[in-house]
Amino acid sequence: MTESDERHEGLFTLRESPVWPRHVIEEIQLKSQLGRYHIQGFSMHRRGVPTLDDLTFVPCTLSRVPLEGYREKCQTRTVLGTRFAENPVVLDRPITIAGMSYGALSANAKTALGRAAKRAGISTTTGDGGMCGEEREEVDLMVYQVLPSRYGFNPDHMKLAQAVEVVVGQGAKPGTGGLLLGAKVSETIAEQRTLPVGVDQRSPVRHPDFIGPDDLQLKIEEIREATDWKVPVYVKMGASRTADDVKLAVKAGADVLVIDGMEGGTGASPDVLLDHTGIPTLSALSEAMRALDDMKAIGEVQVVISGGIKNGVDAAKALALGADAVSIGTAALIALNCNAPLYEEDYAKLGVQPGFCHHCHTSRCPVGITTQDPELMKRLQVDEAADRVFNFLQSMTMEMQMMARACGKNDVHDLEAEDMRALSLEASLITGIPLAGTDFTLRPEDIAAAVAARISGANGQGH
Amino acid sequence: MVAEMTAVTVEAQDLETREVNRAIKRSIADGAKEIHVLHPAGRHSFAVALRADDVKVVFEGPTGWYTAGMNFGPHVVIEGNTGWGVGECMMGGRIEVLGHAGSGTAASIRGGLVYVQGDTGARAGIAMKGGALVVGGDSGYMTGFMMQRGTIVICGDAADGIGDSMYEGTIYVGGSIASRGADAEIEEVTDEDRVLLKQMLGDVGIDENVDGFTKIVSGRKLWNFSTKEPELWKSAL
Ligand SMILES: Cc1cc2nc3c(=O)[nH]c(=O)nc-3n(C[C@H](O)[C@H](O)[C@H](O)COP(=O)(O)O)c2cc1C
Ligand code: SF4
Repeated sequence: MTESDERHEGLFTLRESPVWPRHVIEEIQLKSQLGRYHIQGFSMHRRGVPTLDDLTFVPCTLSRVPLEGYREKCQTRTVLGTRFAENPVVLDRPITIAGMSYGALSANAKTALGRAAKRAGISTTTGDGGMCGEEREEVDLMVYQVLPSRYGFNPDHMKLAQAVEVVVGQGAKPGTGGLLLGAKVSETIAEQRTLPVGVDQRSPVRHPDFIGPDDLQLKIEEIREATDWKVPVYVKMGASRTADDVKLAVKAGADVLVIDGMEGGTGASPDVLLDHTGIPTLSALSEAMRALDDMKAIGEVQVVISGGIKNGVDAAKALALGADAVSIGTAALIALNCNAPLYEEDYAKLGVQPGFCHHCHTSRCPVGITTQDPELMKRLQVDEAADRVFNFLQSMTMEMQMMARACGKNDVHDLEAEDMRALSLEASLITGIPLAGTDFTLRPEDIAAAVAARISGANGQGH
Repeated sequence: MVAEMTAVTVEAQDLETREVNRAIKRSIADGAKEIHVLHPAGRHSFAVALRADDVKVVFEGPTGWYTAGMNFGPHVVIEGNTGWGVGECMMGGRIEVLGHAGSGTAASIRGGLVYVQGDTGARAGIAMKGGALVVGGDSGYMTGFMMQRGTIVICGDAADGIGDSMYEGTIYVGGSIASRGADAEIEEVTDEDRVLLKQMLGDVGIDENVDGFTKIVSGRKLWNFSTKEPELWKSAL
């Protein structure tokens, strides 16, 4: 047998190269067909990002007294926009439904989200493409987005809203505009956005009438004049250079900051942006709170955090880190039925199975959520879907209260960083919360303080 | 009572912007048909989000950013220069700038007319979704960027990148064109175009020979991705 004949038949187990795993091979072969980047919906696929899961609560034992977990009162009322607006937004619980465009979502999905939000006493948000009339009819609290594209923007609709959200960016693709591929630009959606039917719509990322933070200040002023200073103005940003961005947005006059971490969901995005841009939600929130603290603006400017919030525990941890509320997109869609084991043959046609789907950009959503196909849309029964989302919101609220009571708090907003420990060194460094099993952190300022204390202690001993 | 209220003057000098805007809105609600704002002094966000027909608001001097943005109906005249985003997101109505205008003039308007007697800065008519923009002078960089519908008329010269990535709509340029943007193509000017141009210019009091105008429309190559246009897509994205 010559060396080039060597075949090893049956000798080795199949081993995937860590450099060239199957999904990388597939990706290259896909791009060699497409001639462009790969687009997908849902959320990112990369691993190893620090998350809120890297924190744990340290509830009351002997050193603290808990509240009765299943029964004692625990408040969830949340007020957003107390800085300049005449009428701040009052939510029954610290959750909002994130801005998801009518176009990315079907009218049924928007309607169901609206109905659930109203029952739960929380707000929903419009999105790229303007207001969905059916959703507006359902909700009491609507946040109206002002996006770079201004698709479907209508000042009359803005005046109906309880808050206005200027979108500077989103976590799934900070620094890049929205995307709605031709399959979803149906006649209705095209008309709403003033676009030709079937165009691959790549939205701008820069606003048409302002560019930097000083301009944003003028834009916010204009919105206040347009709404007679009645409603709060939120600024939504993808988490990037969050500390600087937070300071600039506060200076520009935002009432509320909506910060969307890199885990943030999307209806469509180039996958490279999903996986390789922005910073994690945990990091973004920690940076944001430190920046607000630097500006002495905690309590004056509220923070809504989003990006991968999947239950009430995540929400409770976010609140403990300083957020005033969380915003959910994907979790609400999953409650609607996204990735549910139904119509499995249609998932198969997309080349996936329930649990693995990220094909929102195709308009072929098997469960009728992210589609503009009238037949697929019918699969989402609004009443039942709204019930599911409401139930999920209830479960989130109860989980939040459970954590708060265990930590001895009768208001979920009283949760604080001291109620938690970090489970990884990374999370400890990011949040400034001690690693479980230690009583110190390794942040430079903490190390410096510890060293200074030792030195002064040593000096003290010398006297 | 109403007859007495038809013409009103608002002295802006000693008022906050908020007070000026409230005075304008109150006057409209009280039946005023013509409101003159004195000493606007280049300040921002005047006369925004008004919803009224048959009302004229005249600024007797220059205004700042976003003048008459988000309006639906009124006729606004600025007797001087104006800042960025004049008329942005207007749904309908008429704006006349009797001077020059900053960047983002008539950004994303969906209806109505914005007329600038002088020059406009960069990105005039950006993301326009309907209506008309008429510029008596020259227009800046990337005029008509990502325009979706409507008509832009530039009587003077157009700077680089005009019509870049426009989806639909029409741009007419009377003077020279430094360069066209991605997928912006020249189409022959027809008799119908000339009639339209005459009418649009006449409407703002410009009596000009329209024979030399160039017409720019979308090449529609960016509507849907194609591997056959690699260079175009590389620069477009
Ligand atoms: C289907 C879909 C459509 C979206 N459309 C918009 C949009 O139009 N405007 C926007 O600011 N964000 C949009 N987003 C992002 C959400 O507002 C939010 O930032 C994100 O979903 C939060 O992360 P989560 O999905 O992990 O909860 C969209 C998200 C999804 C899933
Ligand atoms: S099931 Fe629908 S909403 Fe969920 S990932 Fe697939 S296409 Fe998107």
